[in-house]
Amino acid sequence: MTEPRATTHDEVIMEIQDVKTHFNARLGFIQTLMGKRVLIRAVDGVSCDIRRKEIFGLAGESGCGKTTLGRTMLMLEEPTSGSIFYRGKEISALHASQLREIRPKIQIVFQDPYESINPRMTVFEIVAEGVHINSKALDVSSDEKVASMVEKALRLVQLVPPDQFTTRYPHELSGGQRQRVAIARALVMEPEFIVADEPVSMLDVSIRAEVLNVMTTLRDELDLSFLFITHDLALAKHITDRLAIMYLGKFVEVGKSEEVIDEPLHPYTQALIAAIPVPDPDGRKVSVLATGEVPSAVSVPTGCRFHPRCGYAKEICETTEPDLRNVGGDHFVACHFYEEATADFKAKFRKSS
Amino acid sequence: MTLLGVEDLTMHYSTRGGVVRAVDGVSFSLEKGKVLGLAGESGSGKSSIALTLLRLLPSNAKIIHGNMLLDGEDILAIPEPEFRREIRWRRISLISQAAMNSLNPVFRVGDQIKEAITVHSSLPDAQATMAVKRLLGEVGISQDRYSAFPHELSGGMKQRSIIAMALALDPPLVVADEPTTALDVIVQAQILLLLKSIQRKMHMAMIIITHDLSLVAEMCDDVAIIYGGQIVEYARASKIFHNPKHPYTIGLIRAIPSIEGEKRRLISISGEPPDLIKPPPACRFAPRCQYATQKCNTEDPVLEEVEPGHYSMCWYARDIHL
Amino acid sequence: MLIAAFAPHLTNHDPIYDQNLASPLSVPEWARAFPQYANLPVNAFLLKGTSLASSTDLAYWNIASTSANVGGNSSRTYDTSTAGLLVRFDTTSILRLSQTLFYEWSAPCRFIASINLTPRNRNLSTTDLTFDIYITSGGNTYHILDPSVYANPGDASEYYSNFTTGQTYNVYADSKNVYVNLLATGSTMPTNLGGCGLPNAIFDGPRNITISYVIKSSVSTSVLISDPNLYVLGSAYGLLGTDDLGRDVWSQFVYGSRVSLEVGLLAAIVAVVIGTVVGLVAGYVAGVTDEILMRFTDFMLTLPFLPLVLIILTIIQVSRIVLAISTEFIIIILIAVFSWQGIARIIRSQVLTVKHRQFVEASKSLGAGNGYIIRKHILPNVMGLVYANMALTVPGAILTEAALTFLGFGDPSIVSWGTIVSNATSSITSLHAFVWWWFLPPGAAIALLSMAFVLVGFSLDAILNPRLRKR
Repeated sequence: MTEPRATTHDEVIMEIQDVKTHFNARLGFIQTLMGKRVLIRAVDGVSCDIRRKEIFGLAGESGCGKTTLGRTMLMLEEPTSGSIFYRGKEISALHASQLREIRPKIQIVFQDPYESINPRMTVFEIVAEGVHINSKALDVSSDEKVASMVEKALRLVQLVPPDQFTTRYPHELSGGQRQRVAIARALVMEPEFIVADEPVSMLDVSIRAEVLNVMTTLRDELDLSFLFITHDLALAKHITDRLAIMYLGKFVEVGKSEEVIDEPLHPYTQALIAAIPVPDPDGRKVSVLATGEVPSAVSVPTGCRFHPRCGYAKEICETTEPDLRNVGGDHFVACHFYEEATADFKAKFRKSS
Repeated sequence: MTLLGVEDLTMHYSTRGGVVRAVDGVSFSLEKGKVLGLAGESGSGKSSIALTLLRLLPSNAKIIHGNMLLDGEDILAIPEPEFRREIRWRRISLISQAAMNSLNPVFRVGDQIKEAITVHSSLPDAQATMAVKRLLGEVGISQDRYSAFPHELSGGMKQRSIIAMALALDPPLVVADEPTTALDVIVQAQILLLLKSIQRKMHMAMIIITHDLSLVAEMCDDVAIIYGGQIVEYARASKIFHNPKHPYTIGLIRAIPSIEGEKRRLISISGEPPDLIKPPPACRFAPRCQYATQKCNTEDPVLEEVEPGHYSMCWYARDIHL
Repeated sequence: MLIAAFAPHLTNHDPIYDQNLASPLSVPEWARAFPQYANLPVNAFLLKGTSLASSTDLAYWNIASTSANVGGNSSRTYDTSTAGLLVRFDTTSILRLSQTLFYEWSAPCRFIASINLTPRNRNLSTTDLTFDIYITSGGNTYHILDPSVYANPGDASEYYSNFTTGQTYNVYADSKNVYVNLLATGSTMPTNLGGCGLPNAIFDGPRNITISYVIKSSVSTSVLISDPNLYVLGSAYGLLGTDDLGRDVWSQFVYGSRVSLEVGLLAAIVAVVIGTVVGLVAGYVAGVTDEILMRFTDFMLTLPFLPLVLIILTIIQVSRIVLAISTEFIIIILIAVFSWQGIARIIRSQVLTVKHRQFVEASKSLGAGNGYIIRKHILPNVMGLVYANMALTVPGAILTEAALTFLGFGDPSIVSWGTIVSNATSSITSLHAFVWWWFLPPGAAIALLSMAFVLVGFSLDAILNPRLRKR
């Protein structure tokens, strides 16, 4: 199986190889006694790399495993199999204490700005928490050093002037400000890679940009890499550099964001895009290209996972799982009949262009 | 012909922190068979309008003044028992926010839909059951799912059941409060198409309340943009999107990414929604507005017709554009 | 609680050993406000001018001497410079010192009549000097004759037959052990003179009473007479009266509060500490450890408290295995051991909730170790519950301790509220009086203190919960 590897000479920050993360579902007492096991195959074999100075989008519907993948990449979840590399070092093989040394470099920002920061701590304490935990690794001793690091982080997220914010409590801040505090908390340890798990989906539309623009600025000026997890493809198009579409634990399409959105190859991607309304009353109306709903990760269909819902499914789709293949220009797709699907899609939707 | 006319509706909540002026002088009208979108963000008051229309307000809410005319009759003035008997669910029904979570988990879905019928009408049980089965078909649920429990249904099917409940008595007006939030992308599209087809088939009037402007563009004939408890712009949908005449609308459109079109930098609106207990003195959007002048802080703007059928509550409506 | 803290200041009496402070089962003094108790006597020294040292004092007394020269000449030589009355006896002289007083209350249960004598110039024997004390009341004259003379009234074995010069001897008649030889003149002699009978007869209602001290000398000698006293043990005493041994109930109450509080608080603290640790470990570590700990907790919950504790206490008391540790301490430990389970469960579920909150996960992603997370995130969010639970456990501990001492398993050398109630209840069947002042205060106090802690616990809970839900 080919992995969407970097074909340019961009530095690779994170790489995952055939990562699988499975969970055991909790069954009733009797069933457990009977030895029954139900596996939730949240991430079921994913490989990719994330380069320096890149916002890598990971999109999919709920239950596709994108959040689990993001957390597995940071070793917040133990992968069931496969390897995870940070700058070439296999972090999935490290002990907890060794891992803790790496942690400052790979951070996470969560979806809920209300829950991810401790309501009893001030902004300063929240942002400085990482420094205190890692004071030895970061070689920080004095309070002034900590204060200056906090201040620098707050400036980076545009919470200025910093001393206006350091003494406030989360409930005194807006959702957007809280989320930026969460980013500052991640930034204070000078990471190279940040997993952003739906960072703006709980914020009002009009203020999402303030958080998103912080992220793009951080990419541009600090050479940071992001894994941007979202269910909003329109958002992914505008924010991410590369984009992976995930379905039931596997990538179905990966490529440059604009290509994936404007010229989708996989039927699932096409269905997603066709289903998203356009903010133009005179524009295209939504259509439904896939039947049914996403099945549970407990009962994954055989062969191609999408085949029960796909309009192009044929016999082979039921038996053989398609590989993720590079079909040109670093655009990968896992489908036996993507050409047919794409031709239809273009005909229906790109008539005007 | 006008089905619903809302004039100068004002509703306040009394809370421990003060009086929240949730809805302040809202007026709009809706014709039979048309779809109106009420678009606004969190805290704008849009859900409050929905609750007020159905008179389902909590005890600390008070309608200060205004009237709601349904087919010419002032439904705000009639006593509650009569409203419950005649109006609620029969002539106006509601699909409330995240309604799929309000299905009672210990009752069968079919029975719950039937309850909507039997509570509001005098249909005998057998006929009600048949009506429910017919409704299930209308919303795309196979009839054998009548005796399913909510946890056996998927998210999309639960939402369809809720829609079935709202349609149970064939009301001429349905208010849908965030009908597609919390659903997966493709399921959202399925529900959207369902709503559109039902609306067209039954010639129903709908009020769609949402924060998603794309949804509004997809479904609505007319759009009212709500900010700070007031309607700040009101026009036909295409006018709102192609020729907005209020700084807030402009800000919103600039902030939302479109799945089509060029990749561009998204622009946010600075600041936060107004505190409805102590709102800004005049224009409620002025603190965040890039066009604001002294006048905006001192003189209350009114909803004016700046072009035929296009209303804006901004002193500079004629001067600004996307 | 203030009472407990200031116990030694509030009362002078040792609650157990200071007995006979007043009549047994005395009513609290303030209760004399109630009509039925109005006339009860209080501890009182009834005589006036007892120092005999000045002419004003002497004015109260009627001094008569027969055939003897009290003083020897017409002017009695009263040496008033020494505190007391110096009397010179000639051979076979008699000195009679009497006073009439108005006794205003109802009859007490006990009285003590006494006088001090100091031989001044020579040693005397009991044949040389005899003493009699008479009380006249209600037409009867009672001869109160106490054959023993003690140098030290507290020492029952001392029985002097000789009086050394210069040494002061206290001659007294205690109605509890007086041998009455009634010289009856007048009305009928009361038949029942045991127990409270004699005092009841003498001091039956408000009336005039005359006491006479008669000293006969058969030799010529000088004796200093001082401090004649008639002391009545009141039936109304102190703030909370007395118990069946005349002990001050108020003292018991005050010291008892210390014990009850101490036991209650300590037991609660120990229980809460154990419970919190168990809950923390079970909730945080989860997995097998959690299962084991929780099953152990369940197991302990099924153990019957009272039977087990009684057995353990009995074994300890009977075998005296550990003499160094007081019973009270053992009770504290036992109560704690049976009280921590509920708290463990509550803390565990709270830990589980907090453990999964996103900011804890954020900390982990920052590289926080378990110790840090427990310290900085879990404990602060759990402490509130801990305090609330502590407040709610104290009443249970206090009540349990009271119950245990009530059942007789407490330490007899320590008074707690339970002890008071226990004593009261065990005596109550043999009494005919309604001793409300004895068992009501501790009972009410236990109830009130428990309620106070429960209310504190409730309000702590109420304060904490909305905050957890508030954004």
